[in-house]
Amino acid sequence: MANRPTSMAVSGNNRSFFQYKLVLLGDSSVGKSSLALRFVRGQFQEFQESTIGAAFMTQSVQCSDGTTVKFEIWDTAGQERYHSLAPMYYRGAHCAVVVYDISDASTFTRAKSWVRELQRQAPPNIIIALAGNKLDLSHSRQVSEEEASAYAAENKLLFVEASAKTDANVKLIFTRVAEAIPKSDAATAAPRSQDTSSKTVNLGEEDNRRKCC
Amino acid sequence: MYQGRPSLSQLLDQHQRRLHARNIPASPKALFKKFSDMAAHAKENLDYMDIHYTINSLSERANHRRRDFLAGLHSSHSGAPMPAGPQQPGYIIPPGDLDDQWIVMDETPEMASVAGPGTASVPSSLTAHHQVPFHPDDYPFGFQEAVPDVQPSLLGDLIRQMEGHTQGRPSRLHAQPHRSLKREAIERAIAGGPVTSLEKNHLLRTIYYWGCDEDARRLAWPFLLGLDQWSDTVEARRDTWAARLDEYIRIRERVVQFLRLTPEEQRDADPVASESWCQILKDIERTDRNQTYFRDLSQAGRLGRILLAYILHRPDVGYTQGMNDWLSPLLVISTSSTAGPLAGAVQPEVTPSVPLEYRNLEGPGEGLGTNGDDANIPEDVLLDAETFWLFHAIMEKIKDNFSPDGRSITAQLACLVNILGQVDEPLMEHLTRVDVDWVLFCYRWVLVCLKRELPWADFLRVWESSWTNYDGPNFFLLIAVAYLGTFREEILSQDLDASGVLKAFNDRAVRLTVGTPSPREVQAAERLVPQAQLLRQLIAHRLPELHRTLDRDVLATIGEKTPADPVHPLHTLTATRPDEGAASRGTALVDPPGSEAAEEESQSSPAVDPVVPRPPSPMMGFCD
Repeated sequence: MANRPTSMAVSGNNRSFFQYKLVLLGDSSVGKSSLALRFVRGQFQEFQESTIGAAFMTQSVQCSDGTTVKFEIWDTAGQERYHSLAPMYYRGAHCAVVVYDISDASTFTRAKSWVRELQRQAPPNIIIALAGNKLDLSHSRQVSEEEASAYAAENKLLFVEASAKTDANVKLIFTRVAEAIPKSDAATAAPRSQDTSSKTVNLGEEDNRRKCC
Repeated sequence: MYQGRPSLSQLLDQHQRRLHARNIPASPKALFKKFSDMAAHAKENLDYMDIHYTINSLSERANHRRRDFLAGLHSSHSGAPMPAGPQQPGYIIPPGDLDDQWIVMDETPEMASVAGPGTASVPSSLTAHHQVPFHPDDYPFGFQEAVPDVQPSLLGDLIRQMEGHTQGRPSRLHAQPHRSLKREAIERAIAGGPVTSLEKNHLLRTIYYWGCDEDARRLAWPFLLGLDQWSDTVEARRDTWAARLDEYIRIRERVVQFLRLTPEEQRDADPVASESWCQILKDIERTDRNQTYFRDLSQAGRLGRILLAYILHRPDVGYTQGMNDWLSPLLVISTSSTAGPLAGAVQPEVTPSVPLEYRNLEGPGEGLGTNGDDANIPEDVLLDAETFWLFHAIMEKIKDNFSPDGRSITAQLACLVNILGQVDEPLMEHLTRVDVDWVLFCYRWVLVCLKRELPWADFLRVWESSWTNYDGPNFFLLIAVAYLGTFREEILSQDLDASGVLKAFNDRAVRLTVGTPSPREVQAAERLVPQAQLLRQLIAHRLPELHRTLDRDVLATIGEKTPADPVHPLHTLTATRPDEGAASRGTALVDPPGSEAAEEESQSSPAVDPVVPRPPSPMMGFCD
């Protein structure tokens, strides 16, 4: 199932329910799992253990247009050594959240390389969001909001600074992503009961659907 | 106890009573044969618990008999009185071979009519043996009603039977903490020099079935991991450890030198190690912090030191996230009150000659230092050395799991999937239908052997029982299948799709750390390990049809060699066992006592190739 997009308009006629695959990428210990845990379970662990392989969870958000988007979230391992596994997770993903730690400049560099890789290898219409985590550590900030925001604009990425610890903006990241995904195309998706191969959704042809905040 | 039909063990009991009434000795070998025949005739409705119990008690009896025999030999040489133990009235144990002169006698109709059930008392030897290892009351299992199932599912039946029997009360099957390996037992066994193969068997068997007590692990694990050899004298073991200590001290010297450098200098001096070290620093502070032992950050220092020592010592392997998971339990174990393997290895003059002061470190190195109290340093070094070598030994076993090409993991997952397909068609079919990607969801299970999926005490138990190599080197995969089985009901009854399945797996793991796991989710090993053991027995003994379809590749992956002749697939599972386990064959539960002769041979000629299939055993009858 991970090999193909699984988004679908589940409720058929009213097309108010969509399911998308989202992958969290970023350097090790920038807070990918913490963001996911906060978003999915509303919890935070000071010493969130490192992710090995990947973790999977789901969570839904309500969009302003009344639709519900359910994310299938793949939380990946950050260590470079696990890099070879990453394509397995972003293959077929509709959206990716690339996370960096605002108090660590090197993680921003790594985030940029993730963005480049996604632009090169991920599905062409993937929605990419750049998330600067650990906003609670803004006193030791190493990546300025302007710099990151400019980079995001330049690359047509969504951009949010957030803190999994304080819960600041965490949900916003996912809502932005949910609203950025073009759903008009999803409306053409076949109902669930049909053949798996036709369940996939074309996310839209134009690149300009990638929005910046 | 049972409805309608007697269980196999009861039939076997009747058989023994009849033999006894006729004063015909019944060797475990003969009983095994009888049991196999009965099982072969009762293919339908087999009660797995019953089989489990019977095979165990028979092999246990064989073991006892052997022990008595050896004890007898010993006393006849030394003139000491025979140790008290179960005697076999009327049996003459021939020296040399335990089995050859047992009368193997099949029951005749005439015998059956003369001595029916209840007409003879149970031989005292029989009851004595039953009481020692497995009392029949531990297994109050009769025939189960046939459970209507669309398709046969060995795993499903097994779980259902187990749960059905244990509902509302603690599982008596293996929840016998008093039977786990005691510290005194291992201390006693290894104190007197080489451990006899019989004693070794006994220890391994205990660990395989019941695990180790917490304070026994420090002594037992070095043996399980191959750091200590059972056959070594005390002196040899001590010398080996002394040499290891020396080597660790040398490695530690490099650790200290490395840590004295600034991060920039580290990068210049050793870019690979430096990169790994940065990663290690990120991981050590968040390793198992919910465990009491790691609440205190100073333990993260130990974790870091040893990992750094490892990557400096083995740059070819390096550091990958997940290795910290393997190391952290070793740290805890090394602090148990039991004297560690290095205790005897340190001569008074052995004092570390390396500078042990980490205090000049700044930045990321902070927190890695000792407390500066010189008196404590040697103890630190000893602990670190011990833990380092245990970690090294584990890595030798599983480092392929961490290789970037992922080939080892993929092979293991393929094996897991294949086993599942053989033991649980409905579940396998469901997972195939919803198109689950196995690599994605079981990766972590295999990588750290369920450490992230099970509570602390449980994964330790899982680790050590698979390290015994008692049932092949990858017994772990059967445990993983059993673990998957714990989701079986949920997956099938709720018709979960792929993301539902993945979510169920993940949710349970998350509950362990940030939520409240259900009572069934803790003490999971009590079910998983015996279930895996049962699966193993059933795969080995019961299902000829299963063998026909079990891939040769799979057998090879789980450590068995397939023989040239595919007609006797059972050979593949009973005939070959890893070298370590060669001496344990006599008591392995898939092995009837008939293999003791083979064991004797292998003891007298240790060079014997452990993978050469042995001749068919009496248990072959099981599959006929």
